[in-house]
Amino acid sequence: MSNCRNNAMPYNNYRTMHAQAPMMRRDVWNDKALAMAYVPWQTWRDIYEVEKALHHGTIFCELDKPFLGRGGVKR
Amino acid sequence: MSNRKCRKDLLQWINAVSFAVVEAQLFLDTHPDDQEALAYFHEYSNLRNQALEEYAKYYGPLTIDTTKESCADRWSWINEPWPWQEGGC
Repeated sequence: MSNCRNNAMPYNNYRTMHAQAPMMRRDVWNDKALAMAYVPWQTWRDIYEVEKALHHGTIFCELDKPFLGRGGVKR
Repeated sequence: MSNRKCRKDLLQWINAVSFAVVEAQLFLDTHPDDQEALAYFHEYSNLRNQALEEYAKYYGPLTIDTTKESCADRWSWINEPWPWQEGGC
């Protein structure tokens, strides 16, 4: 379960991913209004065992984001 | 629980399972028809109730809802250590 998906993609991956010329890039966001915030819908998955959940402060592996001072991704 | 847990372990288990129940409850607030979450909630909610009943049976009622047996003939609620006293929960 520890390999839960972490959708906090570090910035440099994002930049390289979208480095191609804008026209070629299939932008999934092009139909979305600008300057709005979007929260992906959470699904029930990657549930911690209760003792660990109490310790980590959440039962959802995806929401377990301890402050690490840099990059904010779980080590 | 087949083997009787000591007070501290049972309390730790109650804390952990209560936390998981609240987490599932909050998820269900926004995903009311998620069957997996619902099954999880009922499972752990039952475990929590069992643990509270067991705690009340052996160590005295932790919450007012579990005073059924121990306070049947006398209000023994007051015999248990108060939370701020040594041995309190």
